Amino acid sequence: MIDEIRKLVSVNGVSGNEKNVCEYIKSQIIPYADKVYTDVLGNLVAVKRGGKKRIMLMAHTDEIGLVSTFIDEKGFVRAAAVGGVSPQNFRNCHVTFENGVRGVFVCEKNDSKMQDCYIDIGASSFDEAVSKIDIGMTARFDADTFESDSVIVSKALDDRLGCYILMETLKKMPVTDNEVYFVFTSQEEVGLRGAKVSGFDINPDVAIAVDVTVAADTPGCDSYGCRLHGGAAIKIRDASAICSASVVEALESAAREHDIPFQRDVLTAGGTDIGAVQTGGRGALVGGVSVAVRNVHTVSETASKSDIRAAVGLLCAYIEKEVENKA
Amino acid sequence: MENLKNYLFELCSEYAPSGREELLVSLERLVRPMADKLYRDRAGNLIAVKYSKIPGAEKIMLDAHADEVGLVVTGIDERGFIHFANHAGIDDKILPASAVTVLASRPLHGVVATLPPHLLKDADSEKTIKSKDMVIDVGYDEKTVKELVRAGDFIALRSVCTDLQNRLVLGKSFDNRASCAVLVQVLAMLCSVRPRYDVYMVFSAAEEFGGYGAHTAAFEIAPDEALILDTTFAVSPYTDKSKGRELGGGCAVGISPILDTHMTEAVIGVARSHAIPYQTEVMSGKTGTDADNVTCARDGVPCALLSIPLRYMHSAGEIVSLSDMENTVRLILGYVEYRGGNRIE
Repeated sequence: MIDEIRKLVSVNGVSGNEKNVCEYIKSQIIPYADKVYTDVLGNLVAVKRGGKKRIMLMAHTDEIGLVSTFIDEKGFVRAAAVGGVSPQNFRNCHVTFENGVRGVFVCEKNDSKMQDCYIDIGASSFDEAVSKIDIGMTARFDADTFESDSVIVSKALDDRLGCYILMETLKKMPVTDNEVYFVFTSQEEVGLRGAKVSGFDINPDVAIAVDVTVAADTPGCDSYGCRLHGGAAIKIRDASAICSASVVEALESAAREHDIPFQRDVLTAGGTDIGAVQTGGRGALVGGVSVAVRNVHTVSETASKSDIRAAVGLLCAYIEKEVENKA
Repeated sequence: MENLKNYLFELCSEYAPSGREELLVSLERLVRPMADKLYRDRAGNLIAVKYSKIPGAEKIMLDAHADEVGLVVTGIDERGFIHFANHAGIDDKILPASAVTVLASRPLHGVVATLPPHLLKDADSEKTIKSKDMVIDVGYDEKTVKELVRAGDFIALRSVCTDLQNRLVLGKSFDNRASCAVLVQVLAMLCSVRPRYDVYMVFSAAEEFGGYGAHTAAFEIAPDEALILDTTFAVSPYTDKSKGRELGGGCAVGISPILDTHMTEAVIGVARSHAIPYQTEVMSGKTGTDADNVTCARDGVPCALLSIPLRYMHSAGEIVSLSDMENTVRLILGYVEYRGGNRIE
């Protein structure tokens, strides 16, 4: 598990620039899918042909990061946030530009906003910096990926973990009468944009977002929510979507039938790809299977291995089932 | 229209927070005998169709959202108190001591817990409490609550519909059951006239959550026009005429850059020619209703907006005027019956 995840998170895929992630995933899944294609917005779609009902599973390939906006006379690089970057969460983190140039993300003050932060690539002059990177280049945050007996700690688990879960589900693909679309979506962190067009294109009966959710089991966290090792998180609602009662029910009964641990996920802030599918075109029945992650949107995202296995098991159990076409 | 109030009170006796519109069983029961076709789509919209007898008639979508504001259970503590978060449209300030119904495996009545004034420290009485620091008390112990209630169960405000003076009524979820009741009445009366349109009544899902219901229904139905019904702010003790419509002054015809000018003029034309009281409500852009989404469905849908004035929106003490509702029925019927046919360009 850790090796596959390490490979997935090591590819640079800041929103809008997911191509390399897609290429890697494509190389791994081609033997398992009936058809693999990429659409205009950069969604990678793997289809497993089947019956009349279409299930769309989505995990986003993009990660939050930075985009260079300005290089000052001393060669320091100013940047803007791509997606939900809280500068303080990334203080002094290593970054890597899409062309491989490395640097350090620095906040000038304790309460710096993005405009008070810069990337130091070690250039001694404006000219040297300009020769290394261009304005408009994205940079990802870097950190080591490691595991303990029970958890994995890494950058970009949001949502390469979802990508991993989709890939595993495809590889284990159970016999089913449903047609299943494994969609590795682009631009989720900047407004669920890939999912919007992919949902319209595929027009599924059911769409399920496979993403991370917030683990609310750490010191200082005063709200109720999911916990690590609590099992696959079955989404009830988030800020972008209300899950269809029939899908929640089907996921829960699939989990019970296969003895898969699960917890209910009631997320009060943040959205997922199903928010775009629920509103777009004809819409769809929607649901979500998540993995609770500590320290979301930092380089130390922490997830439970047993939760990851539960999520794969749950998706396999669900896609076997007959889809009930009611809200 | 003697049934209109009954329709309203019946529809408000049930709870259907955004995303769980199927819980509004009374709506289905009322509409079923009157519609040519009735179905619930996968977004949770209830759609009632009344076909025109005129061949090639255009399609009009009459939209009223069926959902109401609500909360959602996030957890249950070791004393059996229910913790919750806002799900759709509720302001924390109105919550302390509110009567609520938790839509658990069976509906549980409860109250948002508060500290009596006797026990409040002076400094605390000034503070506004956030919903994450409030709990709901349903009276049961931890074990029983955990058997009945789960994270993700929805919660609605609870109150009983009451007559006030001057044909005003008081209750919860008049936003937007007042419009739903109006549509039920329209449907009842359409049975005895010849509509110029194929009428698609959409009792839409999740307007209070952003309106995916109306958006996808408009895509699926692809109407030639849509008339959106909702409620709007009435003049209240805290607002004057610059910010609200008169209760009892008739429904408010929306005027906004996003609404269709010809259609809006035609609605006003019908009101004038039939001597139906109406008022206007001017908005500078988005209307905060299903119209915002329906206008942009497919290649665009011309929309007009009718809003019933309402006081104390999104609380358990909403007030509307029955005469405004009746005038809204008349206006819609007039539009559907008499305008129709070719669009006026």
